Amino acid sequence: MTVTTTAGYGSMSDSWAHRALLQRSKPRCIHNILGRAFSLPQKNTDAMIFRRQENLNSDPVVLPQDSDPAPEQVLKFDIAVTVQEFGKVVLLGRKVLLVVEDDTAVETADNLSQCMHTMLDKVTRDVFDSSVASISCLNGTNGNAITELTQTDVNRAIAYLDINNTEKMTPTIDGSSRFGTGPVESAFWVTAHVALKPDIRALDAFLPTAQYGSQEAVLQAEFGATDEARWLTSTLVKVSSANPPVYNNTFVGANAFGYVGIDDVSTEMILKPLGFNDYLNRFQSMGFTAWFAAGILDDSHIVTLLSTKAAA
Amino acid sequence: MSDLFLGQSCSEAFTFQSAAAAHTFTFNFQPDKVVFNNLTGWTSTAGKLPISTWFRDQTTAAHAYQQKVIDSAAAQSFNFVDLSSNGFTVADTDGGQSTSKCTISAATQADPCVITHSTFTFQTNQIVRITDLGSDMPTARGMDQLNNNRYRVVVLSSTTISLKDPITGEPIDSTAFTAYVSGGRLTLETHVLALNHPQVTPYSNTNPYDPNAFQYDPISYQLTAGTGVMGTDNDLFFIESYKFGQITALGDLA
Repeated sequence: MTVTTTAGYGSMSDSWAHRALLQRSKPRCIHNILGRAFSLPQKNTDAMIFRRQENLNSDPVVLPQDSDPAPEQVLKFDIAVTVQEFGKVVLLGRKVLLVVEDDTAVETADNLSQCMHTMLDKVTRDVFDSSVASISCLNGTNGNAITELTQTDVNRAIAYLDINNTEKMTPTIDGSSRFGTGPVESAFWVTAHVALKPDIRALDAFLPTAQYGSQEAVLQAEFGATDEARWLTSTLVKVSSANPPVYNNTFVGANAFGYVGIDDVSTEMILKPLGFNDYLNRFQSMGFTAWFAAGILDDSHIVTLLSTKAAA
Repeated sequence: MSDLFLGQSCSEAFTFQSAAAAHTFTFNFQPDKVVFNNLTGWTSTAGKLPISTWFRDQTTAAHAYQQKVIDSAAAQSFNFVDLSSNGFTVADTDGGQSTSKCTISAATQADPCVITHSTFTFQTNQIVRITDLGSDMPTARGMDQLNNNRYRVVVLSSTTISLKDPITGEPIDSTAFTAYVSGGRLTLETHVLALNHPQVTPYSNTNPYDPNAFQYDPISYQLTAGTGVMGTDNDLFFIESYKFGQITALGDLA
């Protein structure tokens, strides 16, 4: 932890300083928007248990006239998720606030907010990476053991979700009379790395968002659709450090995963004025805490398709 | 100034009795300097190594120095020796979510079906999902009947499990399944044990299962002290660990 002072964050007064800070690059947080939100009540516990019953055996049973069928035991899955506290703090020195031309504190608050969302998105991203069943792209031609994306491999991922009776995440987007547009099928979401955009665009069934029949339901991070998949791209999506790097393309259906907080204190931006912990009111703290955990609720409804990039 | 802020500068200490073997110590913060004081070696006996000191970000992890008694007659004569081997090794962990996956390298056509996998610690009765097998790919990988299905596992070793039906618990007879060729992945399903695993009772001292809750591991700051530091069995040690509020690089003062 280091105090922000004018030694590192000084005045711009030897030039004419534009008061507005330039736009920071902001990665798109696409993981948590696909999950179900849950909240623990305060003054209880840090752990939440989710329960899911297993389907009863539905093989047809013809009842005899003289007896009842053997009872079947109800079976369940219990899934445990423990919330943890994440956070970050920044200390601003008084001299920064007094002499620096820009609105440092306001921009830092915005920076912290972005940091929090990105941090929690990375937690969910890491849960995906560690816990979701994966299949490899094998039908490409780039010569790697795990190949580039192909429509055949995308269809294998869709088949995994279909065979597990996964519900779609989005309704059909109707076609319109506008030239060059078309309808979009009811679909699963896919989270993919921005580096794979050319590979996604090369898929047989790719339809860019610009050609959707309606733009109302298009998400900011959405790149396009292929049959029953709508693709979200972000730099936050997991990519391995292997050579060549392996990218996670995670197909998400309804009720696949969730995230848990604690009541209305789940996330908190804490801004303390100058003098929060010093004699002469020379330091101000700004930070956030977030009680958070993400968990896979049903592995049947989420699958990661591993791919590398297409040969250049 | 820096000490006004909690967490900016930290110190902590530990005591222990050495087992003479290398040991990994975990700190509550990322230390900048750690001093191992061998209180038993704090004598005038020549050859003893009463102090071993480690600094973070040295050129090599093993680079540290020790004070060595070199002259028992003088009783106060020490020298510095460089710990070039069996010294300190940074053993920090990255944190994050522990992986729940491993890869398959063999599957038997037998009753029960036995899977050989990369090293992974399963618990008997956990549920796994098998993927990336089958024939809908350029080179068939075999064991189509197992692909995309869930199974209950019986741990045979750190690299082998046998499969049971997740609901009935019946062993999976793969005698007539397509022969295994290559590939395949095992994923621990939603961190649960078998369906309807035993409940924890209020009167039970022990947890009958490890629920494997989804949890994000924090970064840990660890330092492994080698045998060159740990002295001999039963030596008494006092460790001092410091994190400085600020380290100012003053550069070349020439």
